[in-house]
Amino acid sequence: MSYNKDGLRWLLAEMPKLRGRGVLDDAAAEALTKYCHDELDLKPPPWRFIYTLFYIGTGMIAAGIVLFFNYNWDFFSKPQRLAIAAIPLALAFVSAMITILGQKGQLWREFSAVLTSVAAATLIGVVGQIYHTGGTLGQYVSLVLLVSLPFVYIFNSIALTTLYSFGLFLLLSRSGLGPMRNFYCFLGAFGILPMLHIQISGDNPNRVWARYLMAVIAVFGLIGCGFDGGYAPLSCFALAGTMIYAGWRLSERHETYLRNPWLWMAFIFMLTLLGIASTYAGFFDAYDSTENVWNVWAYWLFTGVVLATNIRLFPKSRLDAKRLATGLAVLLPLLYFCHVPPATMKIVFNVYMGVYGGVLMLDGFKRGRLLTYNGGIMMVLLLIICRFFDADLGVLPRAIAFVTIGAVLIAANFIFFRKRFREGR
Amino acid sequence: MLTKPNILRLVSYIVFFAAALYFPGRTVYNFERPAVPPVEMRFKLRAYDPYDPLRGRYLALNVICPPKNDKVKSSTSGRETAVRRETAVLEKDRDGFAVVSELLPSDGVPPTDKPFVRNVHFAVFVTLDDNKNVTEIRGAEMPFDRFYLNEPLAKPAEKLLREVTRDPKRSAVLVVDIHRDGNWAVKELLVDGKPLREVLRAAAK
Repeated sequence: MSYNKDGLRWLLAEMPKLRGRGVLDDAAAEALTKYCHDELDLKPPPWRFIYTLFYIGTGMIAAGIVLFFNYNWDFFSKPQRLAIAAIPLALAFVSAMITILGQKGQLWREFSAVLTSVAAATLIGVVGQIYHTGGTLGQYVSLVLLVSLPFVYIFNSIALTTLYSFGLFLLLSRSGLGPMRNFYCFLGAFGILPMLHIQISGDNPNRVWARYLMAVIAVFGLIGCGFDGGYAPLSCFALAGTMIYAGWRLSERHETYLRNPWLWMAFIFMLTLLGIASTYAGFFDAYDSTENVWNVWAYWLFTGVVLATNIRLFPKSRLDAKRLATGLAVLLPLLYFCHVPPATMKIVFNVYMGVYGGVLMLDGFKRGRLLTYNGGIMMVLLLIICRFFDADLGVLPRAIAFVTIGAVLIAANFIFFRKRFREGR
Repeated sequence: MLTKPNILRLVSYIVFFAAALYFPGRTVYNFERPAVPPVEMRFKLRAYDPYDPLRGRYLALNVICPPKNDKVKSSTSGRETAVRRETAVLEKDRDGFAVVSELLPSDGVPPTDKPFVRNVHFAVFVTLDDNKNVTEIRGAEMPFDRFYLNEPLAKPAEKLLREVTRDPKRSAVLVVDIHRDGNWAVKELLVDGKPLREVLRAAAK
C-alpha cells in the first residue's frame, strides 16, 4: 500500500511537467489528479480501528486481572494458586478447540498459538514460584521454547514464530545450560528454520516479515553457536556472502529495499567484516576455548546449515562476476587452514576488497544498476579510508601508493571516457 | 466435517498440549506425591531483595551450609573454584540444622540413604558486618537462593530479615524439603520460629 502511495505522490509531482509537455491534456490531467487525491485520502477501514481498540482493551483488562491476582497472591492457598495458574492454559485449550474444530482462519490460529505458548510459559513460571524452586533464565527459556515450538507448526503462526525468534536471544544469557550451551542454541535456531522457509516461499503474505526473521535467526545463530568455539571468520563470511546472494535474487525480482532486508543487511555486515579483515591480521587466528566437543559441532553445523540452505540459490542464479567475487568471500577464510600466515591473509583481503569493489562498480555500470555501483564505491572508499589510517604501513609508502593508485585511476578514467566518446556513446 | 490437515492439527495439538502440561504437572506431582517422603532440612540464612521480571518479587537468600567438621573438603581441585559445582551430602547437627557431611564431584554417584543437593559451591566466603569487620565462613553455598513474596510484603520482609540476620539473639531459618532424587522445594522461611508472612502481617496490624 505504501509503495503504491509513493507512486501516486510521484505522479502528482510530475503532473505539471506532463501537462506542460503536452503528454496529458487538461481534462486527463485533472481526472488523474482527482484520482490520485482520492486514493491518497483513503483511510483505514473503520472496522480495523474498532478491532484494534477491542484488542487493546481486552489485553489491558487481562493485564489488570493478572495484577489483581498478583496483589492478593499470598492470600490464596497452594491448590488455589495452582488452579489460577492453570486457567490461561485451560482457556488456550478451549480457544484451540474452537480454532481447529471450527476450522477458523488465520487470526484465530495466531491467537490460539500465542495463547497456548504464553499460558504454558506462565504455568511453568508460576509452579517454580509456588515451590520456590531454583532455575536460571537460560533453563526457563529453553523449556518454554521447547514447549512452544510445536504450536508454531500446528497453527502455522507467524506471530509465535516472531516471539520464538526473538525469545531465542534470551538463551544467550547461557545461564544454567551446562557445557552443551552452544549446541542448544543451534537446536533452538534449527527448530524454527523449516517454518521460516515455509513462510518465505511462494506468495505467502508473511514472506517479507519472514525474511527479517531469517536475518534475526542468522544473527542469533552466529552469536549462540560460535560464542566460545569454532572459527568465526568462516561462518561470518559464509553468512554475509550467501545472504548477499539471496538478496540479489530478490533484487532482480524488483523487490524494494524494505522488502529485501537480506541485501542491505548482509552487505553492511560484509563491509564490516572486510574492513576488519583487511586491517587486523589477528582476525583470522582461530579462537577455540570450548570445553565440549558438542559446542564445536554446533558451530560447524550452523555454518553447514547456512551454506546448505543458501547454496541452493547458486545454480539458479546467473554466475556473473559479482557473484563469483562474492563467493570468494566465503572461500578465502579457508586459506587459514592452509597455514597461510596472518600477515599474508591481511594482504589477500586488501587485494580482494579492492577487486570486489571494482567488480561491483563495473557490474553496476554495465547493467545500469545504481545499487550495485554504489555498493562497489562504498567498498573501495572503505578500503581507502582503512589504508589511509593504517598504522602498520609507513607514511611514505602510503603516500606513494595513494598518489600512484590515484593517478592510475584518473588515467583509466580518461582513457575510458575517450573510448566511449569515440564510440559515440 | 474436519479436513485431513485439521484432523492432523487436532491430534498434534492434543499430544503437544499434553507435553506442555507434563513439565509443570510432573513438578507439582513430584513435590506433592513423592515416592519417598522428603527430608526436611533447616538452613540459617542472610537475605536481600531483588526482582525477577518473569516470576515477580523475591528475597534472594544467601544460604551457606557449614561442613560437619574440618575433614569435609572439596572433592575436586583446580583453578576454576569460582565456577566449580559439587554434590553435598547433608546431615542434621545437634541443633537440627543442616551440615555438609560429604562432598562429591558433580558427576559422582550420591548415596541413596542420605539427603543430598546438587550444584553447590564449596568455598571460603568472606562477609562484612555493619562495622566492616571481616568474617570468613567455610561452607557450601546452596542453590536454593530465592523465596518468592508478594510485592507489598517484599520491602518490609527485606528490612526485617536484615535486622534478624544481624542480631545474634534472633534467627532466620529456611525450611527446605530435600527429596530422595536430590530435588528440593523451599517450604517456609521462619523468623524467630514463625513463618515470615505471619510475622509481616502481624507487624502490619
